[in-house]
Amino acid sequence: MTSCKYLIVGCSHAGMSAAEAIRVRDDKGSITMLTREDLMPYSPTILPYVISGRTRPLAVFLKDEDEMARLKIDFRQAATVSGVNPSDRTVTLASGDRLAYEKLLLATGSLPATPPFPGIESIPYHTLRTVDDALRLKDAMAGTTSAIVLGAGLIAIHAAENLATAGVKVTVIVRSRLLRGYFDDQAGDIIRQILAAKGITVIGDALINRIEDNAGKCMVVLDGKPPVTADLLVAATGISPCIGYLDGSGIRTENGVVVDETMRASVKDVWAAGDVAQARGFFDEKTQIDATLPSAMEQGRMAGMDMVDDKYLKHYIGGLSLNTYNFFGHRAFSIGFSSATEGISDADTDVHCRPADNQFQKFIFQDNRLVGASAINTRLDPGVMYQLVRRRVDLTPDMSNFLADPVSTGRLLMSEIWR
Amino acid sequence: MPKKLVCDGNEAAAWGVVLSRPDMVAVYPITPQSSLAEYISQFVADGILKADLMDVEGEHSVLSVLQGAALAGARTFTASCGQGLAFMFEPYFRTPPLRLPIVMSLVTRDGISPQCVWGGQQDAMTVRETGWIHMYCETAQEILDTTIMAYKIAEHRDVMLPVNVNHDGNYLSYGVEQIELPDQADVDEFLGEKNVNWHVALDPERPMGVDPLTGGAGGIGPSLFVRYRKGLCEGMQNALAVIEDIHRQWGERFGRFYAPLVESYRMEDAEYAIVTIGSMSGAGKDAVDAARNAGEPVGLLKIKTFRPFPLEAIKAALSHVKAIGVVDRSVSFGWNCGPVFQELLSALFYLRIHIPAVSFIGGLAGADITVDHFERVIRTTADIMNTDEPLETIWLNEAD
Amino acid sequence: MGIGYNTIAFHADKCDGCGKCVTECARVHSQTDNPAHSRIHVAWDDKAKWAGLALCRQCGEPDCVSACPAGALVKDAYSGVVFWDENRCVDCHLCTLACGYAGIVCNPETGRVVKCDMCNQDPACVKACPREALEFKKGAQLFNQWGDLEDLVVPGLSSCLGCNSELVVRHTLRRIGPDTVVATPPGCVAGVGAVGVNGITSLKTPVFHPLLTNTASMLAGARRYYNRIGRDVTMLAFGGDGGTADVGFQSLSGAAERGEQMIYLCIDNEGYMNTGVQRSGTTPYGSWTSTTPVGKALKGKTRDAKPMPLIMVMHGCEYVATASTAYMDDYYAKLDKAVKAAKHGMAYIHIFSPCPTGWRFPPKLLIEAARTAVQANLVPLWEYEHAKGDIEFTYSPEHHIPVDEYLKLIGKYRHLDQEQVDYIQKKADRNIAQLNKFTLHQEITTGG
Repeated sequence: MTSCKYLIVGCSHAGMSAAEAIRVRDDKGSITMLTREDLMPYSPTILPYVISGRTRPLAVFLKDEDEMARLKIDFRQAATVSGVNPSDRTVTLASGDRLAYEKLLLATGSLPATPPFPGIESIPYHTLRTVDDALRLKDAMAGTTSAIVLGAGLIAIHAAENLATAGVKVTVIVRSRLLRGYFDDQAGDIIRQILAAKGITVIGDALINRIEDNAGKCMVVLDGKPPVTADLLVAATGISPCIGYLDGSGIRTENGVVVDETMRASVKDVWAAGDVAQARGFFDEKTQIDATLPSAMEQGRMAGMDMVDDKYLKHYIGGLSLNTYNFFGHRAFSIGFSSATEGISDADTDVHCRPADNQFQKFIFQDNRLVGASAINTRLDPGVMYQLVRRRVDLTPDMSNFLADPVSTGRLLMSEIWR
Repeated sequence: MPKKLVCDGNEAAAWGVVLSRPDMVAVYPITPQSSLAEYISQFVADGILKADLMDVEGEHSVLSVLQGAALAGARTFTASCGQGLAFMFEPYFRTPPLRLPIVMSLVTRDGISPQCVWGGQQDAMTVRETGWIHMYCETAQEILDTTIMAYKIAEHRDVMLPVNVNHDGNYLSYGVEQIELPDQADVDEFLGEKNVNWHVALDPERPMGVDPLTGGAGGIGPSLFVRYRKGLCEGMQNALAVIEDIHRQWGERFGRFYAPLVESYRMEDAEYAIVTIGSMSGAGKDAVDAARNAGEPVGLLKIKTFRPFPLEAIKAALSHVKAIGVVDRSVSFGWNCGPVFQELLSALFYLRIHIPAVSFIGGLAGADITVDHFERVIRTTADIMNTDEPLETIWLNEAD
Repeated sequence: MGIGYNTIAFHADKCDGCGKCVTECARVHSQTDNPAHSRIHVAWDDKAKWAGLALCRQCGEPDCVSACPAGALVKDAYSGVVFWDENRCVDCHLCTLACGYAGIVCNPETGRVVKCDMCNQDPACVKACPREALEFKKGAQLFNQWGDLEDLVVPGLSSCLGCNSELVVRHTLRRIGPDTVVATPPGCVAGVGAVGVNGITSLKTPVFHPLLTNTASMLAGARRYYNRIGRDVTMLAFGGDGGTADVGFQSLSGAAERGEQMIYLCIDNEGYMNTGVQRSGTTPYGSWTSTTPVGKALKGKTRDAKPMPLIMVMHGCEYVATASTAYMDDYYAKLDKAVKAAKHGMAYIHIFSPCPTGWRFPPKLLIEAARTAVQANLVPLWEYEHAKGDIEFTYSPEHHIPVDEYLKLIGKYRHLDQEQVDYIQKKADRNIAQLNKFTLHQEITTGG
């Protein structure tokens, strides 16, 4: 049985950030990193660009072998963990091998959830979580004239955009509307308008009765709406953390691995970070899955720092929804709240919406602190807005300036903070 | 074969330096030391003295460069007196506690004011409490021999203290005698290995903090300080035996025996004694001889080593006499007597020897202390044998 | 130890929002003056007359790099620059979310991100700034060159908060190295425990307390002996201004005249800061000290500081220089020359050393004080090499700030009236004029 000081299961953003944070403090301690795929580390976020051909499949990788060697990482591919045994600090691999660790990070990410629609199992459909998925979908697009995309999130929209760009007629079917957690109704309309201009049909508020084969095509039968038929079906209806291998390990899981404010799991010497972790939220302490790249990066770094007792480690301030979007060249982002919610009145929001120009900007404040920012086609700096939210910057003295010129005011504030 | 030459005391001192082979000499001229500085410079110029000569800008720096050099490991020499010594006082006071075995000729001179450039021992007596060893010479030969011995005393492991080899300005500095120059190889063998900075050094090969602060009250600072002070006292005390031993070794090797601490002259059956220090002792001895011829039971005690104070030697010499007269060449202001006299009173009281004593002050500002003066000293001392009253100080040159 | 990098520093107080940096950046990178193409942006608050800067900080652990799913952003290990690979970038713009300083932003003209590449270590924006609000800091080169050397001072000296002397001692010894005998006469350096307390020392080199009066002499003696036995040991003094210009001056002057081989560093904090802030010969006109107090009849010191560095030039030292801790690269360059010069004779460096405790200003303003005094021509930076024979400025006194900009930072000048400030301004101008007489190649004029 081989052993290592730091064992990291998973090699995407959380795993890599942890490894790099460990190396800041511990140049010598052995790091072993496992991945179930037989590829170098890559980011699932890149996959839509593989479909579009924007990124060549060989260029997706975040690190090459030299860089892994420089970090002194013993990188093992096609190594799936089947069990974790905290009592003797070992993991068991699918191959039957066992591996001893001193400190373990679970960064196994997530896989697409099986769409909960009757009949889905009867037809071939595509998901998008691995490079193989992306390549399969890319191959399937050849000769395809129509496609249905199920899902309302970023992956769904990316898939739709890629298909539409390739000349495929795309219908997106969503339970309520696109990106509902990220943008309010006004913004949602603009997004729908942008997609519609590129020939993408979005069917909102759709309840799927069943999915069936129709003469080799896929037919989605909707409640109270005409069925939709297409050559290809892409399901992007959500993801679920990979935690099956933790059954019987004693590590506490709910939707994901429950972690504390330094990413420690319920069992000694075990951490979790990224999509698999269920950490506290930014606005409340309730733990949640926070499957965004910036969170994976931050959580991974924190876990790594804690694993080497880095004294500069601070407590996790919590995950909040945030992302950037690019729909056919229209840039958007959203941070935190997108709509008035409990404890926030409409009076605390500031909205500028110009549908004719596809422009939208919305700020939500609580006690004169920014708690939500969402925008389409503005000059706002997403990172500056995110920091104003994260740092809970009191905008009381600057509010009028901020509302008049949020770009400059935000940059001024952050420039001061930096100095 | 030892060479013989005729020279004055300053040159004799310079020859003593040559034979001691110091690494560094630093000088700043001052009357009546100047010719000594000149001899040293000439010897260096002639290649006779293979030392680095530092002709620095004042006596303060003279001793400072030597301290730096000694801390680096150099054997060192300088000479000064009077105002020069006064200007040097700050580093001078610091040399003994650093335990640096620097040797310095003190060509003793009276202090100003009144303005004066002449001999006297006011300079040496004023610095007697600083922790330097003080030895007073009587002849040019003794100056030469004592200068060499001074290195062996200063660098002795049980001593490690700086030494002043004192000779009277004017009388010894310029007085010419025939002297014998010891053989260099003999001197080398006598002195042995240099031993300068084993205990304290400025050397990157053995880095140390030299003379860190001692903290104040409330910590270990004061007790640490006391430890160093007592160490210095111990070195001083050890020096008494070392000085005696080294004088004996010198006599055995070179055939010239000097009284190391005190010299008793015709003291065996003396009923009273006169006490002298330095070059005046010759005239004193002549006067004692004359008095003895006239039947006076007088002896003479010459002090060579004044620091450390030779208490036991004085006890041995004076325990049987009934009165003493002490001739000083300087003044103890406040006591208004001579400092040697004053210290002898302390010693006698300490030794429980209760005899009358009288202080004579003579030879100030370069004045000669003649045989006539000593006749008066002997006469007065004889007269006080049966007195119980404290006696006024007698100023020998008052009426000259 | 890691590697340090050059940076572009921003002095907001000097920026007037003119935007020349923005235009120049756009011009250099896109041959247009459309600010959309610029990698640098100024956020100007017209009411407060204050500027913020949106520019890549080339972070040590850049979040933009970690957030990039395409591996299109890479921090270059050699230059420290975060480079953007336009071919790998997929325009997801997650980097713009990761950066909190708008250092990488979307160019609306192209829809692609842009960020600063430091113009191949010769940034155009810095050169374009007419007010020196942007500064290309090359101090990192010092760190790269010397950072791995041992700090020869133990941690935990008992110096005051923000002590400049400690900074000087640590840097100087790091450069000069362990084969050195260090003299720290009574003063702040000795007072903070450089030699040590109760038998425990603070330096890893040989170190000693000379007297306040004999630093140069003691070092001279030690060096002469090492020469005699054929060892090259550097002699280094950390003198205070009192031990240098006042009571220790004679021994220093003598040693300089004799050409004794040493580096004599005068850490000039303009008075006896260690013993209760009394005036010294280098205390400048107008200064409050505990012996030049401010009352009804007197308003601080009535005489000018003794011009020690010039006096040492007149001694014909091998090397004389002035220095300030705000200009460390300049100081290190001068130490290099001093080390060489001290093999032949005396190298004298007079380093300006603001004292937060004695001068009554907040420790955080230390380097600011060290900088503005230079910029106000109160502490001109120059050097003199005996072989060349003239004085050369190492910081141009040409574009100087009013002395008031410096004086207002420092509590010991708080009482100054306009007449005194005017006097000090004239004195600064006169100093430069005087120095100019010793320069061969430079003809510098200064305004009144």
